[in-house]
Amino acid sequence: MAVLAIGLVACASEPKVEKPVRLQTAESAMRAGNKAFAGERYRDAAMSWQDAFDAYRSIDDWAGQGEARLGLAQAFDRQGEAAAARNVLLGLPEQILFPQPLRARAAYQLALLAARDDATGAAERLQQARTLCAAPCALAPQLDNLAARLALPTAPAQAEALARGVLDGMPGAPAVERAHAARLIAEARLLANDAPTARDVLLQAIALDKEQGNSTFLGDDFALLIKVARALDDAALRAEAEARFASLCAAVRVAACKAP
Amino acid sequence: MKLLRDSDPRFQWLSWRVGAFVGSAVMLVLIVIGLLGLKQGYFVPKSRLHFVAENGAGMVAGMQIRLSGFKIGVVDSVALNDQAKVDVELLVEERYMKWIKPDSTALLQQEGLLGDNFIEIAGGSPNAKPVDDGATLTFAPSLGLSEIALDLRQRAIPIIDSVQGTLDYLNDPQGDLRGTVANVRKLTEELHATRAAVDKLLQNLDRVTGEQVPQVMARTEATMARAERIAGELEVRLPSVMDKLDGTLAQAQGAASEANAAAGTVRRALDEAAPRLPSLVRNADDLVSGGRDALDGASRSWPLKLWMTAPEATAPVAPSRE
Repeated sequence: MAVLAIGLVACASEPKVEKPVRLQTAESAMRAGNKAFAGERYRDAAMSWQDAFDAYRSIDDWAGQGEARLGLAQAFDRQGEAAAARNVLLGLPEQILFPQPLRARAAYQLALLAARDDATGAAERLQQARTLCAAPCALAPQLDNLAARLALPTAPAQAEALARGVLDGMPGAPAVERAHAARLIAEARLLANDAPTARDVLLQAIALDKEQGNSTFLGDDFALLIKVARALDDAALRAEAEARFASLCAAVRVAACKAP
Repeated sequence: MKLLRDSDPRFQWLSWRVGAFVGSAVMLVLIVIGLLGLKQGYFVPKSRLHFVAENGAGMVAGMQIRLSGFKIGVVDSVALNDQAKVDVELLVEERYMKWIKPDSTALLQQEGLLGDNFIEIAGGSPNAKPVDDGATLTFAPSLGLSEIALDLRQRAIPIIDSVQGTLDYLNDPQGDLRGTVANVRKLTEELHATRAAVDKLLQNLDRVTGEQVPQVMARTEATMARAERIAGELEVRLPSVMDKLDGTLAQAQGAASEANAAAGTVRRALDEAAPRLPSLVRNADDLVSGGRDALDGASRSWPLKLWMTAPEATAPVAPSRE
């Protein structure tokens, strides 16, 4: 009897909860968008997230349509359409119908988009994201890293302190953010003419980025490693970094490969 | 104390009883096998048919042969021959052979979108004699959408090339047609000029004095001679021009009729394919939806629910490095 009872419990399935058709469609499109984005099929991802956005809007689901807009903006950005990405996000941080964490993420994404060509605008959006992100803020590592990135050209010491806070003070931070923090520290150390520390921290960042398998970030890391090797006057390290960089660029033309 | 004695009445005829039990069990198994075989048509007399296919994809020994949707036999063997084609041997129940005619065709069909393949025997003149044992049938491979598209492409491209060639020929400034038309235009212009000169001479005739008459006559004669020469030249050249024009027009007409035929073929093929497209898309949608439901159901069952994590329906957080 006991064995039978155990067997029945083990084999039992969770009761199926029937969701409304439009919600199922929206969630299905959302998942399809996530899958396409993870597979670097950004056009497909944009189409799926657009479908999800329409479906969520049709059932007055603000949280869902906010998520879809965040995804859609990322898909546009990865396709090089930064203006379209910005348009998708505009108004989202200010609209109180969206959940607050989502508004914070929208402000953060807008800050990321602005960081490329408008440091002041990026800082304003970053401040907006910090205001919207209630404690404990789930976006803290991202926000600190972005603040460090913005501070790096003018205040490397401040940037390093922020990045160290992420690398050492936030053990639960995503690996991609920890790698970014390590790279930011390496850059700050290089600016402070401390190439040996820059090399050590950068190698840590490379190890983390290799775990993630992100070609763009690895290309970026190897480009910096070449600069560090030059600063160290280490021919062996430079040859190794150049070989790795060339091999990566031969496989995929990431942004760092196109840099002069 | 001995519990079981040889003289125990329960052991009497033991070997016979065991033998009878085993024997009846074996008999039962044989009867079941026999019944199953009978049901599967193993004991029904069959005739052998044969066809040759270009490709053996989807064909396996044991697959069903159907006529008007009913199973009438099985594929006995599928083998590659010396010409790299596929020999397919069919076993068809004799009672159905009366409906298989020499002009019947064998088609590879599929049951639904994901069902098993089977061979469909189709067509055949009702008044023709049935085929004999060992006859060879014609195999008509069924075309998929990609094959239809390829077929259309293969048919359309030579016709487009031909039309293009004809148009190039017609448009070529150094070509026969445009050259000939230019020559004719030149001759016609010369003829017009000659006529104008003659008209002028005739208008001035009343103002001509006696001593000028021979001079005028000479000029008129020269002009007339020139007109005659041009007319003669036209007479010589025009037939060849007309012939070439005829040939060119015939070629253009041929190309046009080829294009017309191709358009007809394309239209027919599209007419055949188009009605299938919406149902294909709908079927694919249903299939995806059904598959998703099945996976959802499976992922909630033990032990899959221990291994699978439900996919997130939230957008990823953008890395701060982008």
